[in-house]
Amino acid sequence: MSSLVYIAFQDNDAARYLVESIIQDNPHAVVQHHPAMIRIEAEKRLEIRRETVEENLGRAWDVQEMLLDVITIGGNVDEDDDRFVLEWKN
Amino acid sequence: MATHNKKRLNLKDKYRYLTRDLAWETTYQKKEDVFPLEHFEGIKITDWDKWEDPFRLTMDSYWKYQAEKEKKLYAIFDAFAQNNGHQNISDARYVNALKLFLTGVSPLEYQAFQGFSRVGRQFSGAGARVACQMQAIDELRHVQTQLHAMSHYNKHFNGLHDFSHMYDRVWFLSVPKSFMDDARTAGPFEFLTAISFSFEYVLTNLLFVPFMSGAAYNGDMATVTFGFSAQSDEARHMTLGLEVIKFMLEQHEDNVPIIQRWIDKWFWRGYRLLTLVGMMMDYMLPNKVMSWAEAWEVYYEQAGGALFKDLERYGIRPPKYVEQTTIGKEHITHQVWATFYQYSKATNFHTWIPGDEELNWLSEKYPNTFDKYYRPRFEFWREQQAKGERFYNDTLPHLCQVCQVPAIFTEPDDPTKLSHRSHVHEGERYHFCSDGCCDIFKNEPVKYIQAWLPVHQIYQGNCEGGDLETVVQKYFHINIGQDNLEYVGSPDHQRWLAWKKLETPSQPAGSNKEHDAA
Amino acid sequence: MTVNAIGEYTATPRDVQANFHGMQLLYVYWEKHLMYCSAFALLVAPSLTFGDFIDQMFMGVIQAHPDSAKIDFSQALWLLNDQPFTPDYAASLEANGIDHKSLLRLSTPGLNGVQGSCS
Repeated sequence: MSSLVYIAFQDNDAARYLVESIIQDNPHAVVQHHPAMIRIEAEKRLEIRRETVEENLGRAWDVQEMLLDVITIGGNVDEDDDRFVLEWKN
Repeated sequence: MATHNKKRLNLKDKYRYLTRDLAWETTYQKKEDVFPLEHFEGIKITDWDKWEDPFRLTMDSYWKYQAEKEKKLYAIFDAFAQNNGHQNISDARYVNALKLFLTGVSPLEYQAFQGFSRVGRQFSGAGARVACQMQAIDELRHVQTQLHAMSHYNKHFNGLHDFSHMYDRVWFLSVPKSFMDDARTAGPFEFLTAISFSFEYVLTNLLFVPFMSGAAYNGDMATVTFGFSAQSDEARHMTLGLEVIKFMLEQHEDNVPIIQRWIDKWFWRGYRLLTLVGMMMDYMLPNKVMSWAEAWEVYYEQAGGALFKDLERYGIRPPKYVEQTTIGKEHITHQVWATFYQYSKATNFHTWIPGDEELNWLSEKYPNTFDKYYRPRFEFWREQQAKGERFYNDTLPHLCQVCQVPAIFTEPDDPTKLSHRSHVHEGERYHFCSDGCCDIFKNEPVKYIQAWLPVHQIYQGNCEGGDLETVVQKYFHINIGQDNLEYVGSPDHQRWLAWKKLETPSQPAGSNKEHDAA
Repeated sequence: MTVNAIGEYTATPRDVQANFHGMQLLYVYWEKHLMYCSAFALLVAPSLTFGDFIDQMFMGVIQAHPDSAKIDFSQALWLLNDQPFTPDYAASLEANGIDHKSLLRLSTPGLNGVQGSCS
């Protein structure tokens, strides 16, 4: 059985850049569009990198800003100043 | 690319300074006296410093982000009210889901606020205390934003006028109430396993994600916004839930069997509670996003599968009786909608027979069960209604002693037979809907022999009267003829038709043209 | 098992027969007729005869079901608290061994609910 991690964002302007950045950094991720919501799932691991988001957004971005638009997550979380990681280790 | 202020503390240091370093060791009192509830459950903690908050959220950032969320949320509430958003929903039937949400879910948020305030005081580890404190404030925010959002609907629809009174008294609301009372009367570690892990991590996605996406799909901007705003806090709560479990399991091997029993118990209690949400998705959203069975597959089977695979290394197995949920996902929503349909005299919301398009959707989504077991029931009731004999069950139901849901569920291996279990404790017979609920009772019988079962209370004469009408009107505060009964022809329905400048149909909403002609 | 608590934990059962003012609870489940979502919870006098219970109470409870008029009670099969049971229609519920919070199951062979769907 596969071990999917997932994250969902509100379908708004801020999340658009986040989703774009996630796809860029996680080529194995699958994006699903639901009413008012964008859900991304990936086998084992998914990473949001500050650098990529800042490039796409064109401004400084604090990783914790993702708390404004996130709806739900699945997987073990690890966060520091440069990235937000979701992971299943088994 | 923008440059960062290099003088700023990094996240890990900031978290350490603003949580751990605010704590102190006790000097003039013994630590066990300051935190007296930390040991009686048998959970052994050797090193609180191993507690991790992966979000590393500190109080200053918490206020900053929460304030921003609130501003966005209330701007939308204002816009919704100013634009008469309630007239732009898919259909007025939808509002009945909100009535159930307001009476059955919002009070749970308040109870969760109380629960986290209490347990946050009881842990000697500063990390756990801060996380519980933030969650307590979150839960209070959830109940407040939900009330504000739904106060707009209360101006235009019936049944939303007395939610907290109803939560304490109405028969089906004893289901969520007893769930939360059970958790809040447990010790602090069981409370966290129940609410943070089993409910928040394993099950709340099913409440807030597909249902809220469904609210958006039905034009309810206010609800989807409070739902997703609340759920953005849940992402933190879920992380806390998973960390709590891993922390307890890593602290001592003796914790494993205790936690396994709590997971078994709270998964089953949560599963029973969520039957209500499943019904809201399959039956109360006129525009459907996904079926309950599909949501269960994505948010429990897939996500829970990965979770329990991850927890295997600690010696934790998936919850007991989980295989019954795989069977039940094709049945329970139909069973519970049929229950509310027949007991609509005693609900603060309306029920109805789904329209043909909706029945066809249910047949398609539930190919193994709907046509065989449930569609004939609904079609028979529709015929009765067309003849002016709308079906109501006037006899009170048989309740499960633990989950307090009427024992409406069928045997896992026989969908034509009700699942009943019973057990005699100190000479008194008790009844249950399932092995799961029966096991919970047997583990702690004294906790459940005192259960306040609404049906039995009515029969004991403790609910202001012996007849159903008095109980409904006087004890429940449900206004007869306005809040309850069939949707078709109800005051809500008539008001909706007037807003939309539509004719009153002579037939139930469920019948199609050909059926009308017949 | 006992409740794990900070002190001694005791409670009284809330639904003992004494709380029902001379009456008792009886649950009745009519098999293969799930149009009635659960077993019925009924408040009955222990002195009521089984026959009167059926005629004056139970038949009214299930009246809305099209199968109710077709029941042949001479063919009916009963279980009382999961044990095979042959009711004495002339005797009281109490004399029939139907005590407080008993569960009676009624099976009516040949009647399989709305369109045979067990509804």
